[in-house]
Amino acid sequence: MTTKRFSAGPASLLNYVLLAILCILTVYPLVYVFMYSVSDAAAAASRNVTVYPIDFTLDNYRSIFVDNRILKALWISVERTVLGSLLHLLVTGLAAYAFSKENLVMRRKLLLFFIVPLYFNGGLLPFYVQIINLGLYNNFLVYILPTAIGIFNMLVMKVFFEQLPRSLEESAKVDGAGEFTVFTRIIVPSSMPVIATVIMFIGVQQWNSWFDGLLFANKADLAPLQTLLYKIIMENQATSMEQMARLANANVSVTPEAIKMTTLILSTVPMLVVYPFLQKYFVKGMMIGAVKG
Amino acid sequence: MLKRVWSQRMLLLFLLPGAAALIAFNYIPMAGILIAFQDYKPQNGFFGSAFIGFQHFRTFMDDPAFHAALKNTLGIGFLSLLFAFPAPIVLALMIDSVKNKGFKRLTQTITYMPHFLSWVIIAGLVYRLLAEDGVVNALIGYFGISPISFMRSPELYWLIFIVVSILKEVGWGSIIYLAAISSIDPELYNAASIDGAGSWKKMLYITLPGIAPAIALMFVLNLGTIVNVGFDAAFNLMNPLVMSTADVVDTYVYRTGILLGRFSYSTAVGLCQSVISFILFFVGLKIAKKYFNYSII
Repeated sequence: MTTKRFSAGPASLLNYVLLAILCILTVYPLVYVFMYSVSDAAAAASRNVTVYPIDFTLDNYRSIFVDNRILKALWISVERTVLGSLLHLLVTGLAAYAFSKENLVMRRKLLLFFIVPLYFNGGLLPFYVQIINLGLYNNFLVYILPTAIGIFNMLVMKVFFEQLPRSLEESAKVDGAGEFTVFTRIIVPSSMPVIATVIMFIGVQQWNSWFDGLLFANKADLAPLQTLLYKIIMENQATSMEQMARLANANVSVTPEAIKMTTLILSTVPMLVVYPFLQKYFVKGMMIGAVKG
Repeated sequence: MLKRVWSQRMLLLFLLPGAAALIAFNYIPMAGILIAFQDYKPQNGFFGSAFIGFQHFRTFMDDPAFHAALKNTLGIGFLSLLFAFPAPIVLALMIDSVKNKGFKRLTQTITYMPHFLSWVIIAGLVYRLLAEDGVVNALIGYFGISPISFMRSPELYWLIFIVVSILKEVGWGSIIYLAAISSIDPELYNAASIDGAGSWKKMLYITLPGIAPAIALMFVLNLGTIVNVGFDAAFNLMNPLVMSTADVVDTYVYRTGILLGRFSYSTAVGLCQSVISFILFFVGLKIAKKYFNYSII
């Protein structure tokens, strides 16, 4: 956009200042918590952390890893993100491809069947009852099966597939390829942008998921990282972790608060690291989804 | 027709896993709504539980805890519509008028970010910063104000909820409006410059009217959310001390259903909310279709 639309002046200085304030308000909380996590726990409790650590130390991080629940939770989160995303991509992608065919028999009715659940569902309790009835309670599959199909993502992929040139598919069929071969050999390689977008959407959703871990599993080994974080921050499991840390090393300075802060940073870092690289995919995906409906 | 089905059997097969998942996790639970009209007991199952009609509905209408939850839901929902809805629009206008590309990109990257953090993390941050011995209280201490117990004060809860919700989502929400703004014909601005219009006039007479369709569309599609304060946000931000203003219908449903085990009762409440939300959404959809040609299919 080469057109100059707004002339520089006092109004725009205020604009810059307000935006800067917004950015600071957004970033500062994480800076604060990070500084707390690398500060000596006792010192941080008595004095106020501002933007720098007080008595820099990595003891807090050492302390939380004494309890191997963190590592187990981390592993569960990684597993569910990877497996959940792959399954989602497969199920949703196949459905999107089928719907991208204008001549699909009963297309409108089937599409309606897929879209209705986007707007209407039975609520929490019937879902909870169903999960138990399906035997998914305390079962790792509860993290990846319900999210196998994503209707919004399916619509995004459908729009993308519809815009691929027919000739790709036609020449493959002339050579005798069946639908599945066309899908895997032709469509998928040509759809990397939308696949990246969808993987990012479902990946973030899987990584941030905490409620299902709380509701559908009570075995400690099945808790994803965000659920464990929830338990540490809200249900005060930080105290038991503090005790374990002291058992391991009586001299270490650690408080439940420090444990909370450190776990918080640990849960946030993967997303923060990955986010700048994926930002443009998310924005693009959002726009496709919103504009094309 | 059967011939077509057979010739397209592979394509239909592609739909099968998705359809199975939808049936298992969406449609069957939808039918499970019927337990709202029963005295459901897990050991008796669906067909063995007694049918009691609308009794649960009558019960929850009389529950003061439900009234509080409803009041909070509508209150927060209304405030959201009033403040959290325009916020991304304002931000989009502000970001759009930034000329420095670097600053623009930095601002966008930073403000989009909280959208990707879970509410567990956000609530954790909020509690830490607003603690009696936290940074915010330290800051206002410099101005001689005595510490405020932010997260223990029911009267402050709505304010905190709205502010945090806005900070979390304003960036991401501005994307749609930024896209709408960038689709306005630059010639309009040039013509306005020639006529001597300053930035404010341009914004009032060109930009805002230009994105009015997008605004209206978003508004209409979000009508259903008045009744639907997000569970994630509400659940993570609340604590027992602020229950009176923090409990919303979704958390009420969770508490009575999962924690107290009143399956049928809780389902009845949830059903009520779903129906209202759906009606609002449906109305919104009809308006969108009629005035904006916006259609899902």
